[in-house]
Amino acid sequence: MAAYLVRRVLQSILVILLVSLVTFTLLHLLPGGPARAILGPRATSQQLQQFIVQNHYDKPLILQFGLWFNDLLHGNLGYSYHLNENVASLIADRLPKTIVLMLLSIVVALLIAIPLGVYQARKRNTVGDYVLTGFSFLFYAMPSFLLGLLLIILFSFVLPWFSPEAPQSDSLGAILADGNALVLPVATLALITIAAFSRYTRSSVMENLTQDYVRTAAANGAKDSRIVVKHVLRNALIPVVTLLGLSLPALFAGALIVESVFNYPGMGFLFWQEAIVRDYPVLLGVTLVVAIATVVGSLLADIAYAVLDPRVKYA
Amino acid sequence: MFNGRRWLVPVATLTVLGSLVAGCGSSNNAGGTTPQQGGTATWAELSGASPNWIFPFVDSAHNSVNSVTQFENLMYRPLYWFGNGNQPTINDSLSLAAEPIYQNNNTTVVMNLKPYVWSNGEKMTAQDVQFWMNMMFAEKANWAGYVPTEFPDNVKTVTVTSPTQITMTLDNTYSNTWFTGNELAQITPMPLAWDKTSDSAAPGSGGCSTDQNKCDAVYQYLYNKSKNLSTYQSEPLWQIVDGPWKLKTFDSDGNVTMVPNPTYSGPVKPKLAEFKELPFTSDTAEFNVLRGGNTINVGDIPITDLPQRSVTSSSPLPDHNPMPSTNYTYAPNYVWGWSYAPINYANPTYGPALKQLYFRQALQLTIDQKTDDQVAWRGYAVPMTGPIPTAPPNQFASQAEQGDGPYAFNIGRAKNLLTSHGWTMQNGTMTCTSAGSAPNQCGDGVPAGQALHLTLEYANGVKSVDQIVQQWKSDASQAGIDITINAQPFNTVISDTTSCGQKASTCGWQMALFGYETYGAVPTGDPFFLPGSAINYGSVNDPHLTDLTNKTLHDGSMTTFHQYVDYVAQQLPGALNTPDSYFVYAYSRNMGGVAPFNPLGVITPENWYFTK
Repeated sequence: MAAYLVRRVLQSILVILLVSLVTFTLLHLLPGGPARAILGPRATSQQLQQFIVQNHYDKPLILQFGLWFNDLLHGNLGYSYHLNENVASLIADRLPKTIVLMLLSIVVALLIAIPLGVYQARKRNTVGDYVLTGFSFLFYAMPSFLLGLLLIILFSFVLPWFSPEAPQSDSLGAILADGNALVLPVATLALITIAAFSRYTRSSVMENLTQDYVRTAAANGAKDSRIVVKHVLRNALIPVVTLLGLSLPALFAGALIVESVFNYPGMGFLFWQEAIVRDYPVLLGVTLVVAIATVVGSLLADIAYAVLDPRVKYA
Repeated sequence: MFNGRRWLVPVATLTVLGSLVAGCGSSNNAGGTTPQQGGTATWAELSGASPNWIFPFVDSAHNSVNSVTQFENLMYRPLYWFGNGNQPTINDSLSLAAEPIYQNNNTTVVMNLKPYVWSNGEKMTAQDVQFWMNMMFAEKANWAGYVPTEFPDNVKTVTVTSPTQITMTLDNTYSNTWFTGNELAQITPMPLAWDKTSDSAAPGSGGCSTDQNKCDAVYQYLYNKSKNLSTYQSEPLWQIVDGPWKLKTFDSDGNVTMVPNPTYSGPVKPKLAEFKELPFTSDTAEFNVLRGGNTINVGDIPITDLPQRSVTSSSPLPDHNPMPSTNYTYAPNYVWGWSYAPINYANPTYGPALKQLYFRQALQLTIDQKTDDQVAWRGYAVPMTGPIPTAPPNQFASQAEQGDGPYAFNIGRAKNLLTSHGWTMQNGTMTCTSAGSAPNQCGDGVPAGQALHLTLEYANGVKSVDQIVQQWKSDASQAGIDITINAQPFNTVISDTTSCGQKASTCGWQMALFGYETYGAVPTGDPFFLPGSAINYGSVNDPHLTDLTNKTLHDGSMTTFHQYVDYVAQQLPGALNTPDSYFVYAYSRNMGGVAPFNPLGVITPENWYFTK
């Protein structure tokens, strides 16, 4: 297992490097460089040239990448002219907010989706199953901006129960304490995610319910609830764990639309906002973080798989 | 000046209208009109546009309306304040100096300071102005408003003639209106406490206020301070202000809280206890919060959330209340700028045609600005009939621009102009069948057989603009002009739309549309039309226009200015006019002093108050 982990970590580093290089290249191939985007149309050619030289945009691409990578190794992700802040500070500011929002929504989604999936598997092809499947598909198919706006109209304006904007504080404690403001953004993300988790759980539980060990447990007089909770669920959740691992990048990348609708400046909004102005350092910094999250998520999913399923052995 | 091109950033004026929209039920402040002291007023920043630069000597990379006019100017006042009600004229009352005195055929300017005091107790002196000017001379390449040959290149000497008087000699005779409004208005006096190069150094030790050769180190020190957002609220330097407000809290998301400067020596002391600026990630988020009615006191309503305004309405405001509650009063906020589509004289294929006046006229005649106003902007736009906006009414707009202007939408007239100049409709597209430079021919350099297949590159992302270009394409095709529309990100368009100059053979763009250009206090055409200017995108080089433009810089009479405006309105040099949309702002009904907004985009919350 240790050798496997070392190999996977090394592979992950290589993947991250390649992702960085590809992203770097693609960004620099975009038409209309960053100089005019940052300095504006009125900048003189002298100012544009000064900016280009100052930021090494006049050097060959591979050399620019080398400079960026060298800075990265020294803990410097660069500086955003547009936001007047170091990229590391920006990410440090936005990432916790994004993680709080995404984590809460995933937890809420799981808390609802798993029992829902189990219920649907046990009551498959009943009216209840059909109704819940219908709702799952409805929310899954619904664009998040539409769902967010509908929830705001319903629960902020028609029934003035919840705030139409997410918590505005910078401190995590204050964000978590502002439960009222968290309800709608978390609900929007959770409702959309529930479908995926519940469908996976449903099919996985259904498959396990037909296994021999379930019949054996029932023959031994185990109660249905005990069979499901103690035996079926552990096996049925393996694919859900994989799905969770793959959700990790989203946890770091944020949810642009929800952040935008609920005035919650997280990673998704940061990336979008800076993509518009060709803010290369921010785009590279965010891509790097998401790439790391992706490979780590994938790695964690594999490890969790092995932990949950003793039959899986990594050589 | 802090001009820039953006889509729909509210820079402008609130014509106001203490009167409100009929039917909105919001014609008076609720609960009385007596101003009261105290309270916290909140202002909604435009989405994604939060202040993030505090040093008033701002470079191009950090220059924005949100940082300069809606943040820095609340604390650090410019020497001359422009914006008087809904007019972009000088406001003597809010200026730090009396109106400048021009002498010696307008080659000498004398400025007398009023008795202002910095919040650290020091008097504002002419040395503070000299400090700024020295930095301007030394660091002009780092000044966002720098235009070669203009400020400070046109200043020969700056002399402190007394503690309250400073005198400049100029390299030429200049229009006093232009020089005050677009040049002197750039000066923001700086306290001597900033004239240093390290935290521990003594105020004035940097030497920049007396010797411009010493300014670079001081500039670097202050520039680096301004790069540190997290210290804005705690940095002692930034707490030394001469404006009515001091910074209380600030965060990198754009949340700003200001409190009154107790030592403010200007004429209007803040009545509010606090003034807050709130950031928003999107127009939708801002409008949702505005609709909630409890958080925002002053904010704009996105066009998409405004009801369609009737074409017959005489008010610029919505015909009915755009919000579910009657908590707000509404006012329009016009843009002090020029909304236009640059056209490229240097394009190797269509440049010769675009240089022909009849051809530009034909193109302009195919732009249906009234339909654009009603359909694309839902009734919240004003047709541009020349380079100067006609709303709000102002002294700079000329007679030629009034009404529908010289080229109101008319497809038949556009076709006639083309056919009477050697073009023939072939398979639905006008084709030059009579090449040559005679009055009834296509014009110099236009080859026989050239068909009118033009490309318009425009900035995507704004639905209204998509509609405008689609409408234009459709209308132009009826006149035999085939326009291919090419939507690109804003920054791609502004990068493509460069002045080609000597590279004309590879100058691919033909027509572009990416918003509007904001003006300084005096809307002269020097950035647009002087050969070699930064935003002379179309490579216009018209000696008569150059002469008219230069005259507006040197001769302050309105007659001279109107000659320039008339010429541009008639000749359409390098640019076609497109409708200029405006904003509708909502402000709490129990507030006063909010409207009219400054025409140049600054906000003056010291005028705001809650009523009882």
